[in-house]
Amino acid sequence: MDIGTIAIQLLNGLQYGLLLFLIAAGLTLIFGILGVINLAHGSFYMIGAYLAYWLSEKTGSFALAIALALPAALLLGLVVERLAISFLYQRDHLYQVLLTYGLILIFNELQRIVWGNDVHGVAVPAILAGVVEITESQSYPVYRLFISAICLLVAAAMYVAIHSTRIGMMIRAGSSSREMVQILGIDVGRLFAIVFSVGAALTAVAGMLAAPINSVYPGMGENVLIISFVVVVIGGIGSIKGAFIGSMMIGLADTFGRVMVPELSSMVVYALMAAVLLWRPSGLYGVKA
Amino acid sequence: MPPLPRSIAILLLIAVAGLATVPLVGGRFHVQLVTQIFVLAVFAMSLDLLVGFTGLVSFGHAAFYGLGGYSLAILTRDFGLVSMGATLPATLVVCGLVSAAIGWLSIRTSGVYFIMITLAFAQMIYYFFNDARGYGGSDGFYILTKPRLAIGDVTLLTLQDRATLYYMALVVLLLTAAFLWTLLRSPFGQVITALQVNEARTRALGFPIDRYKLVSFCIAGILAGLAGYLSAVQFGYVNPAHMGWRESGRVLMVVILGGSGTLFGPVLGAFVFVLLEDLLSGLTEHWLLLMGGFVVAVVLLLPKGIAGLLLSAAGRAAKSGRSAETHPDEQPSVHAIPRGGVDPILETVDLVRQFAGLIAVNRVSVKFSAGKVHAVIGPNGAGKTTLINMLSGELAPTGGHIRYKGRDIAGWSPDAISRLGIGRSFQVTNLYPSLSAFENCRIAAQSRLRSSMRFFRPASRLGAVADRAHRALARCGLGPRSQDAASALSHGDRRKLEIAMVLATEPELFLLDEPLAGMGAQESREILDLLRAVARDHTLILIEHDMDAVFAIADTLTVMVNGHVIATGPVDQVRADRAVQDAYLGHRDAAE
Repeated sequence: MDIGTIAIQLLNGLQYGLLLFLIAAGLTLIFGILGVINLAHGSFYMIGAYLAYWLSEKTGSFALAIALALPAALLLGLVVERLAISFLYQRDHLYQVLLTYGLILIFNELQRIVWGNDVHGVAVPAILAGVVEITESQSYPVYRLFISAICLLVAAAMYVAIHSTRIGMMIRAGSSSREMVQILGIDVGRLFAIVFSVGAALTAVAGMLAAPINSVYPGMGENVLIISFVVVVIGGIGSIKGAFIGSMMIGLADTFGRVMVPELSSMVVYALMAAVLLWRPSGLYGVKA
Repeated sequence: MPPLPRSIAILLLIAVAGLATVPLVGGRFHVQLVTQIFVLAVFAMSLDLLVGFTGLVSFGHAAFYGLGGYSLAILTRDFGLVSMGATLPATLVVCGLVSAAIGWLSIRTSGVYFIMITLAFAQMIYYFFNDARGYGGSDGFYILTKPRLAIGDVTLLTLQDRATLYYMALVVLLLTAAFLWTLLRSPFGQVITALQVNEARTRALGFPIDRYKLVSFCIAGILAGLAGYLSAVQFGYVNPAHMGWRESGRVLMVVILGGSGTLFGPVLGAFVFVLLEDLLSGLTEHWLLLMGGFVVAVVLLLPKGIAGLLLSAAGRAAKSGRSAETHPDEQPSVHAIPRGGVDPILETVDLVRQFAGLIAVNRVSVKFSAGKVHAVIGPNGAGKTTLINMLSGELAPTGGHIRYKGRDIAGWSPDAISRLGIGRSFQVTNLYPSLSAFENCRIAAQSRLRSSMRFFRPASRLGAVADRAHRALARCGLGPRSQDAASALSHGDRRKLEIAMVLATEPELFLLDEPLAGMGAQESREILDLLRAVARDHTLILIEHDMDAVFAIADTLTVMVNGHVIATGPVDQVRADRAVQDAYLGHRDAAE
């Protein structure tokens, strides 16, 4: 591989990793604070992508579509938390896995009813449609850089929110000891609802951002779900920092795996996860199993 | 496993008889549908062995199911094998080996991590076949010749025939159920059920739990492979989707819907699930929506599944006719153990345990003589429990040595230490709440067998084990309560039961972490009397806060403060020690 290719793959890997981080951050918080394994997390990614497609068709503007889809995703997260997830606190992981498995079936079928089985493309907004020259013969799309920038911004905003706001403090307390937060008299119900809904919205944003590069298709949530579980488990459940490191590892491993060992590329990330768990059975930054 | 209520057993027998007639009266469609159900039932039972009986929630079980099919397909296409006598054993061996490898790696993790690592391995296998062009990639490939069973030139069975396959699947289902039923009543089955209820206790009793989990994982993997083999025979092709995570989720759903932790539950689940899929998919194109709603409703409304519903109905009906059972032999017998002549029996040398920045136990060197009662006292946070946890193997020391009869056991696992003859009780009573007092002790006594990897004989027929359990119960005054569930015992009786369990493992050295904690005055006296009796033929090391009790029972006293031993020796000598009075006893007197 020449320098240009390496640079491009590096950028691709980081961009993919950052997008995964948006998804995994929500998932790990929901794990860590609510104690819920949410298999339906990937559905929010799919819904985000479909909303971006549908609203940009209707309004003619990708930016406007995102502006409308974001509150919709927050609201959807809230509704799902109240109607289904809130019954799962304190229940065995087994039941959480099953109920959210049922939710996947429901969301997938609703998507088919509303939007059908076709694959849709979403146009990259004109302002971001250009490319950046890397070498004389190689270039890199501006839109991918834009995705990375947005994800980094969100990550930074999360860092600030978690380290210097009241709710961030509760989240930090909650991810290290869930029981403690409840004992301290914090309104757990509200905290849980907020965390779930924000987690869902972050994932939906990832889906919206990915729509122009990955296209929009049925079942797109599931692949992303399994990969983001891998990220969360590598990083250690409940750890945002772990989710970030894990996202980067998976993003780069997957991207370079595709280039270097194409015939085994799909297995690379799972092998990486197995290796990490054998080395540290509770992930890189996990508290305990 | 509790015996099946008679009403349910009779219903099941009638159902089996009815099912045997399906190929005679039913059409092609029905025969195929019910065959499919039988196969799914075998698959679901194999998963229930993990989820319902071993406490391992695997989210990658379909990998073995898919592997069963692929291995048949590959043997048929690439090796030209059509004999069932060759392909079936080979398939089961392949599934056994792969599940041994995956299980060996996976059981190091637990909880959510176990769910995820099994998923990861299953996805690896899925992608391997999905990307392998030689095996048809994501389309899979066909099995053109179905397996036959022949002796010489006489063909006994050909699975090409629909009815033959139907009966074969029914027989496999019944054999699987019978096998698992036998397995769960065997010593092995008792251990996996026990470790599901209380893992720490089971390990402390001396069972190498990882080995039991691994064997259970392999058996489940082999049975799933068997189901996959039958399914591949039925449909005549294999496809990577059969090993994907959706399939793993589906079979998990079948287990829960039917009722995990029972054998007939997953079978019922398979019937309801397949019939429902069939019914709903006939209703509307968007039947998965209804299926999803059904799954959600089951989780919210039927946490114990259909089996739970049936069992509680049958339980209500049967309740009136049952009387309390009592057990015959409850004569106390002297529990004599030859005492090793080694002195000191246990010794620590410069023992250290560090937690991040905190040194909980700091260069502790103490000798414990055989046949004596040793008390370790000290204020909260002195490092007493950390010390006991290192002696019993719950914690590995950061440095130093623990010598038991001259052998360095520092860092050994709790089960290995227990098998050496060091038993322990926990600060918070640690039992199997759902089992009877007798069963609690029987599991404990069973840990002294050379191995409980016995799969066929019922554990209840191990006479010597039962005797030992009864003796231990009688010794602790629990004879009359032996059939009561541990959860129904009073606080004091539960503590006595824990002592009985440790006695049933016939230890030489007995570690007790605050045996009197939370006891009332009367209960304390009873436990103290019991400990005094136990001390006649055991070495005791106990941590205790109740000073009167300590002075009443202990021969030697070791005082710890801030991770250090500040005094150790005969009780009177230590009581008179100035430093001890200042640091600990004096402080206590002032506080009281």
